[in-house]
Amino acid sequence: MIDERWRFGVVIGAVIATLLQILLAPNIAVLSAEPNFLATYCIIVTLLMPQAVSPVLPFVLGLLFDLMGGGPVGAMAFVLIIVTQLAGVIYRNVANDTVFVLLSVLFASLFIMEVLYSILLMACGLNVSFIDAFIYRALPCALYDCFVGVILYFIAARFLVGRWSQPERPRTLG
Amino acid sequence: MVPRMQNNRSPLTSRALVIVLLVLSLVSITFYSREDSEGFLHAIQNGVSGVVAPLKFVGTAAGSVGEGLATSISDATADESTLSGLRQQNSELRSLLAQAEEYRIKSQEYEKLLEIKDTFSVVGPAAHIIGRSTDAWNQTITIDVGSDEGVSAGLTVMGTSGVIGQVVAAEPASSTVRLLSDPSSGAAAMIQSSRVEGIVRGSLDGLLYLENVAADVAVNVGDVVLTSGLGGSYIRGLMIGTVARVEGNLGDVTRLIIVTPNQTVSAMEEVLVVVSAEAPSIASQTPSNDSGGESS
Repeated sequence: MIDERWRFGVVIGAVIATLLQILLAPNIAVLSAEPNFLATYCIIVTLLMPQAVSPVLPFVLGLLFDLMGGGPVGAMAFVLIIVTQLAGVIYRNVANDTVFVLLSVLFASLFIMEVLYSILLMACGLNVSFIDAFIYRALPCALYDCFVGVILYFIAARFLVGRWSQPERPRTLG
Repeated sequence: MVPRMQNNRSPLTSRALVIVLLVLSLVSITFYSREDSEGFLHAIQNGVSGVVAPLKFVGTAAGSVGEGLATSISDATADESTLSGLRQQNSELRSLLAQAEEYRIKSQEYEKLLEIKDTFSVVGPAAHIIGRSTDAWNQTITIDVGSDEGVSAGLTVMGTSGVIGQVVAAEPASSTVRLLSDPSSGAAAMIQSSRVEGIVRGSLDGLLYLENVAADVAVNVGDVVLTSGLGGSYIRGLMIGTVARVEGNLGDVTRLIIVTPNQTVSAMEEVLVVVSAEAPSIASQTPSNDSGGESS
């Protein structure tokens, strides 16, 4: 069963991710690429507990992202639910749960998330070509997300998992 | 070390929840795309934007303070072992100098805004930029004046050297401005020297493109581009920028004209919201248009 402390930790983490998105993300933009703390956090939480993936967190944080930004309301929520479910299924079925595999799934999920979101924006009327959307936004943002994701993963693993979970087998790099 | 905990929901309930939330998201996207800017979801989005505006301001201010603090810390700890009264004094003086420089830059910016206000007889409040877009896909800024000061959606916003965008949502104490560089922005424009009209559009690469210009019209690098006021989306005769590059030849229908604004918005701190204005240079040649409107 889901530990109440885990749930509390996830909520606290979500609040921190939201504050980072509002306070930090606009100020650390590099060439128009901004990290998506909310999406990165959702995927990390999914990978930290793939046995209990819930669509509620990605839906709420995705909706918050849409409401705080200027994009179609529901777009990021839709994309995040799909990506976290997908990441959960893939990671559950991967026999190897080393950090390397986890980060690979995280990076792939972030790329898929950015690409799906750009496709959805274009479907909603953003007047740009897919190539432009990919080169100028999806790719740089995904790379930035990956960088942020590595840092967030180790912090989240320490505070969400480290306190109460005993490793079943030692995790190795590679 | 993957935690082996199980969700307390049955697989069927979990799947049903996923489907319900996906459908809810899709319905929300559909409604948002179909409703106009006064619609229910847009209103909620604007409300949330108004609520987080003060937080954005804290973030922007913290960013500036952080830069200054980093410099001060770096200066103060450079020679920690040989700290002396003189060095402390020096540090204090540097801090004062930096403060004075900040006031000087702000004063220059205000002077430029006043010049613009005089030149175009601009009527409207000046505003501070208190926040920037929280996502990479929208080029917007948040300013600290709103409907309480007469700001409404559709009004033109100017920087120290020309148009930078248009108000898309106004809350009582803050407003959201969509920049010209946003791919969803579009301004009816004309080239000052030849009076040829076209549309300036933003793009994801951050450049402004002048489109719909007749193929047989000569466009040269350095030509000044102004708002034409057509369609009522922007006030007529305000400067947008200058032609930076022309790719393609005269007569070529696929000619690409790149316009560069005179100032980058990222460096701006103050802007003017234009409630009404008058452009003396072109007012006598074509009828004026003082109304606001929606971005295309």
